[in-house]
Amino acid sequence: MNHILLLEDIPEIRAWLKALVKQVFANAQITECSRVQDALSLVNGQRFTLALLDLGLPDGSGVDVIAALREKQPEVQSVIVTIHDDDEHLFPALQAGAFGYLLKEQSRELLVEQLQRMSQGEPPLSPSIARKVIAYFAAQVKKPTSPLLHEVSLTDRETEVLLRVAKGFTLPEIGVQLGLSRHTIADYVKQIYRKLNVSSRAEAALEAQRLGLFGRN
Amino acid sequence: MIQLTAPQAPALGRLPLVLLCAALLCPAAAQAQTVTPSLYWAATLHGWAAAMLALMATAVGVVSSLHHRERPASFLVGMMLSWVVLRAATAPGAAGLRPLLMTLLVLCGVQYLLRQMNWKRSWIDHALLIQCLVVPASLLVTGGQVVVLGTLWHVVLGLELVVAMGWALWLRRQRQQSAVDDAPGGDFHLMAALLLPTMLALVAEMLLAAVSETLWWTASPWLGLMLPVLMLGLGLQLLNNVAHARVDAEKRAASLEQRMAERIAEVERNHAQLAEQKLEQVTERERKRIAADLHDDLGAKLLTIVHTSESDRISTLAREALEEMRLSVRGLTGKPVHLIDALGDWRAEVVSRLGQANILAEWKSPAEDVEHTLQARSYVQTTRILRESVSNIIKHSGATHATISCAVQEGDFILTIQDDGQGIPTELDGRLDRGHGMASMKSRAKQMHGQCLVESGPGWGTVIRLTIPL
Repeated sequence: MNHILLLEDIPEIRAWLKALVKQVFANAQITECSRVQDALSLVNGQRFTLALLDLGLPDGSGVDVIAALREKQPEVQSVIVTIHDDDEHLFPALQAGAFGYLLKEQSRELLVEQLQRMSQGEPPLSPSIARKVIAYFAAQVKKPTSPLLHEVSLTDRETEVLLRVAKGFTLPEIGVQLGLSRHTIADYVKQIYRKLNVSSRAEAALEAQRLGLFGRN
Repeated sequence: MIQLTAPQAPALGRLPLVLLCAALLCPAAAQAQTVTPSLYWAATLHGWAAAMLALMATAVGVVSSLHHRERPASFLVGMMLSWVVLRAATAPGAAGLRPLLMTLLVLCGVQYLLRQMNWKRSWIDHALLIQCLVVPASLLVTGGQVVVLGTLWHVVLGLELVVAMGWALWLRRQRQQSAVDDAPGGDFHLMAALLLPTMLALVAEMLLAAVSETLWWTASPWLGLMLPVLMLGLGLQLLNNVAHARVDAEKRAASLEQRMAERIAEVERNHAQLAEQKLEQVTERERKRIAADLHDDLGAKLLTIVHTSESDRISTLAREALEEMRLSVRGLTGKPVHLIDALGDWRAEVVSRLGQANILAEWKSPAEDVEHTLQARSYVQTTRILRESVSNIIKHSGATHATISCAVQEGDFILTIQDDGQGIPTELDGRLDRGHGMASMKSRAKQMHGQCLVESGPGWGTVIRLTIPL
């Protein structure tokens, strides 16, 4: 059975989201909370399968919860539900390990469809996010001090998919262009998200090491 | 003239200018000599030389007293004055002074030549000073009776000068060789041209005095001219150096002033840049704050309306308001957008929206990569126009196909949105509005200094052509 964590501070929106989730996962158990602290303690105590997380909360950002889930329950799919559509907000969440994002003001039908797709392993990818990912990995390759990071560099095919997304092609269109199934394209996107997360965490670890946060041991 | 100068002849004879040998060696011979024209001219030249040297000594003296760096030149002054006074001290009564003047001349000459090369030894200073006492004293004591003593001193003094000149020349050569690049070679050659003939003249005079008295009498006045010529040359060289130094100093001052001015200009420029950067940072921060506030407060409220309103119309309006707000914020905070990125964003949005409405979308964009950028405002306004057009197609046109083409032509960006729907109904023509937002599209285009043309007829669909300058 699905156990879904729902983090959202505005009660009306939370109720609306809950209804939306019920529509997609009829039998799911839904645990609601409105603060980052509450979510973090829930993550410590209970097992979840999916987490829908708002970004801007009164006591912090949903990104912290994504990181905690990544640490404690790596199998959980974290999905951001936000009003911010700019990559300044979305990209850090994706780096932290979010599997996708939903923009709150979209129509219910669209959101239901996107949530369904995500639950089937087809995360969304906008052109601006694709550009950001390309730029991120291009910068990683140039960094000389991170041999570890090279292991999570993108394959040519993944880069190809990203470039096409950046040009505004939809994932089904790209599937047709490359002669690949929808499923395969979705796998590429998943891989891209996974590598973005792995690479970002490795980078963060290297940075922490460089700053001496791990001490001498 | 000859008659007039005749009485001076003995004096002239006693004045072998460089050295005192005439007086010491053969005073009798001097009396016997007749005044030849050659001697007369030599004497005249000596007179001129003395006058010039006196003048030069004054000039050099002034320079050396004013410039600390030219202090050694006081020795040159001493040398010149010694020579002038020596030249004047022809009166028989003054004969006692002559050895003293001679040694002074040698002292000053040696010191000047060596100090010019920064070569200073205290034993030389002492030896020269002692010599000034010993030579006149020894001659005074012997009363000019021991002729050999006079000759000896004469040779010693002459050799001292020659050796000092040679040593100075050698030092100069060394210096020139050790600093090939920055020291001008002309300096050494000039000094060699001045010193070598004088050295030769001194040596020749001494040799002549030893070999043939007659020859000596003929040649000595001319040879003796070399020393004043040397001193004049040295004086001129000094004045020339001072003049050059002054020119250099002026040049340095000018270049210093220029560097200073450049530096000040640079500092001012940097300051202005910094101030601008700071202003930009502050503006950026403030914009971000406004944007965050808008999202968090206005956005959240609009969103609540979107998802809680019972009325579809109200939730649609609220959603549109939210989109508008987001675009405004983007225009507020946005940096210039690469056209190629904007095209990507637009394509993704348009194709997926039309696709959801089951309208077949065809997107044509420039084949080659465009390198233009759009101002954030232009990006936002174009996005609005495009969004509005697509909304119109979905809501009102009843079209099944839509073609959106983008092109860059002669510095303009041209966006054409065409559908095969029913066109804008005739009753709306002329006003071209009521929910179609044509007027707002046109005014948005105008804000970007572009234009938005709408062509439509019942049955032939609608073409919206937006042209904006890049």
